[in-house]
Amino acid sequence: MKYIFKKYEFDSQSQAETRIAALPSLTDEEGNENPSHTHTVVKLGYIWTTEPTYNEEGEVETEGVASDMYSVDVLWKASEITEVDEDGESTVNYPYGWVSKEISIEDNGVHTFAGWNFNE
Amino acid sequence: MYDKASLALIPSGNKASKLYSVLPANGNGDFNATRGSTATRVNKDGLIESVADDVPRLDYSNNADCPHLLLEPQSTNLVTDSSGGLYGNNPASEILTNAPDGTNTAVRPVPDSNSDRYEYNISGNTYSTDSKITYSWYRKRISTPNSTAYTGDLFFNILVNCTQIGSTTQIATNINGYDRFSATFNITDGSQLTRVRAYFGSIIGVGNSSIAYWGHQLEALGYSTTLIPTSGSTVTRSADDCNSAGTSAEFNDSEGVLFAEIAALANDGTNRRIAIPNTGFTALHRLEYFTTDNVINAVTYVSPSNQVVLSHTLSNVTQFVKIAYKYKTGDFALWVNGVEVGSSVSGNLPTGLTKLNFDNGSGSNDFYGKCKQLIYFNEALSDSELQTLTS
Repeated sequence: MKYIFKKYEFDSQSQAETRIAALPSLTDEEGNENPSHTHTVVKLGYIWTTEPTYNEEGEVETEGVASDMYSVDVLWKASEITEVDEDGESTVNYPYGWVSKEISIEDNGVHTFAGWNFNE
Repeated sequence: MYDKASLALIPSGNKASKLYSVLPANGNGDFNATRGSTATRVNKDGLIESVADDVPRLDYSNNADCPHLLLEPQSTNLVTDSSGGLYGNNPASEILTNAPDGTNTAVRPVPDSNSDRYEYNISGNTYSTDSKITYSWYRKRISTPNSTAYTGDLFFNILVNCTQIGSTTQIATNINGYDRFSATFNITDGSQLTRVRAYFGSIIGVGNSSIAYWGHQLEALGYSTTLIPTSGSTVTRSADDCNSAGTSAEFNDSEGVLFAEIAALANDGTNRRIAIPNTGFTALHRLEYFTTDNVINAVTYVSPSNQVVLSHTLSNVTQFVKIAYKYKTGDFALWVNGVEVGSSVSGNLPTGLTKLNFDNGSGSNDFYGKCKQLIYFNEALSDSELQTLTS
């Protein structure tokens, strides 16, 4: 398994941003900090549970209802989070703060990665 | 002069996780390729096809005889039905027809008189104020439409909370009979709903079916990327990553030439680099598309500072260009399309050069663009050789 597709819900956008910012990064020769991992992280935000409706001018006709959780999809590069012990046993170690926020849904929900179906 | 090359990538051979170089023959020059998702390309038969994850893309766009390596950033198609698009006002009926991927999934809408259009909504607080979004689509004229006045046969009008930047442009030609078009918009207020309307009804004409559309894509980028097929949800294509060609045996610390035939995807305000770093990433040579529009740089860096920076402004960064950067003690030069455009006689040289990357050498500032050739010569070529190489 080269990649692992997971879905997450965080308590807030700032909590999600903090977890994403903590993923591996390197400082380049100009002093800029850039991600050095090859995981694919997609911030889905506060997903509508009930979509709002709008009139022709784009004004809200009926208010929508958004989730109070901030959603993020990640396609983890397995080799970057897998540790192999002296017996050759491999263990996937997700970065701190992600495992407890993982969710499971039956289908792709509002988003997937190209060529991937969630839970397949 | 190609017999002076120690590492040569002419994109032609690949498999999962690997892009083969022509030189050296022992495989040391092969690149490691990663991409977590599938992606699409134009194949040698001129059709759009899906490429498996981790397989580097050799793209034959614009009816090319030879492919180029295509490296793109992560992007998400916000249109949840890329084949049919999403209607604002539905047409009276639809006729399915052959699409750019050879399937029978393109749609010929048959309009009624109700201002038929595609329409896309982006909720407030999804993107910030002044973010750019780009809509792209494929179009084939089955017969002459009612109006031929609109590029791509879509009329962007009555937009909500966004303005079109520039005009609609054609970005690809004759993909199974279809042309591809792109239009970019600026979000006025990120806190409000943004709505893009693309009208086709009056262009096609009531009761007619003169135009087929397919491959609808809306991305949060200032330019369009290759199609990300969708069916029922938004879909993200992972970024391409292609690195780690060569060993210290292929590189010469004292002198050499890095040559590339490349094109950028757009002026996107980022650094996109091809680098030869040393082991500790404390020194390197690199070519780069710079943050400033149409500027390319050749740079030699030895910690803690740049030793050489040679810059040149291109007329159009999306056109293929041949660039060579020569380094040697007291002799640095940048050649572009047969002309020496910059030189320097001072600067320290990196030691311990160890690999060739489509990034800044340490995993960021990835090169996103197209590459027909990437060749490293482990000796400094003469001016006449550099002129020939880059012409």
